[in-house]
Amino acid sequence: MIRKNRKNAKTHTGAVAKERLKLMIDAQRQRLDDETLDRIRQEIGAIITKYVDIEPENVEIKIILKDYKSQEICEIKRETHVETV
Amino acid sequence: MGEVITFTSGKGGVGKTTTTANVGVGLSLLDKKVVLVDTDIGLRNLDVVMGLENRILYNLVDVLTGRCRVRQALIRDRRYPNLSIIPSSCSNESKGKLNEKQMKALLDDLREEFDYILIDSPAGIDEGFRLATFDADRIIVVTTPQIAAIHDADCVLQLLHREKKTEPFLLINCVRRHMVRDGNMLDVPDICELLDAKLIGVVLEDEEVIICQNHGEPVMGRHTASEECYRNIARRLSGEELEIPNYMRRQSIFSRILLRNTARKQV
Repeated sequence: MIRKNRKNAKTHTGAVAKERLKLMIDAQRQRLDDETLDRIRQEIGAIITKYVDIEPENVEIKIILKDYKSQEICEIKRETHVETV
Repeated sequence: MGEVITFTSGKGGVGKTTTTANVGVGLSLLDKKVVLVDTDIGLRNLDVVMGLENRILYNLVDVLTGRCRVRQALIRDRRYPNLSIIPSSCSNESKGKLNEKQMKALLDDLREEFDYILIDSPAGIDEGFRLATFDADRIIVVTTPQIAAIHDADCVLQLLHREKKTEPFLLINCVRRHMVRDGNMLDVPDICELLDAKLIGVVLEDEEVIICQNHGEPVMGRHTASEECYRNIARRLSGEELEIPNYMRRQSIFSRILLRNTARKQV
């Protein structure tokens, strides 16, 4: 009985490995590279300066991707203070 | 015009050198002219695995830096008339001094003379990896069913996909059938589902590989589990359309004996 239980606890660790790998690999593939981040930063900055009378260098942009698979938080910061739209 | 095939992995210890040696011998037994090139500068292994460590006069670094001619660094394997190797060097003082131009010149020379040039890449994804892969006609990423090896294989594959030079292939080494059966090891289809590359072959875990290497011999010609796997990979590389068998299929004692006998007859 004891032996059987121990055996059960050990089985299917392969499935655990697969699940972990899937998460790791997905996260890696979806990570935003610097180039894309730069583009996002530029485009959002352009939109803000279009509606608000402010110099681009005075805008601070912070992006938090809540529903992101890898749960990664990307921050984009510009110096000086925040201007709310 | 010969074909350059590079075996790489990201993680160390997954069997790049063993695979290069055995697939190389497999190709030479198919009457192809083969040269194995060890590019792991400072940590030479290929000559040790092949049992040719006492016959080294010149090495890869000597050729690349022009200290000797290609012919002088080639070691002919007396057991397999079609097979030669170019060993790597023991010291790493030349590391960083080698460039892609020198390597390309060597590979073009070897392409003239050999049908297959198999490169044993060092582990990792820096300089040595670049030197081993930049001019390859085919790149084979070796992995084992272990989580860290698969993770690193994915990193290497992503890197290769980004460069888009050649389509990389996947080779899964050291598959332990009893562990897969118990659900404690990732099976071949699981790994293929996770990784983005075409499968070129599967090699079963085999103690005979270690026993043979103790003598400095490849496992080819030994009639063991892995020998058939290496032979199949060599045949696939030489252009034969050969299905990858399902190694998890339960084999009866009768079919096992039958297989063994036919394998013997072929040799």
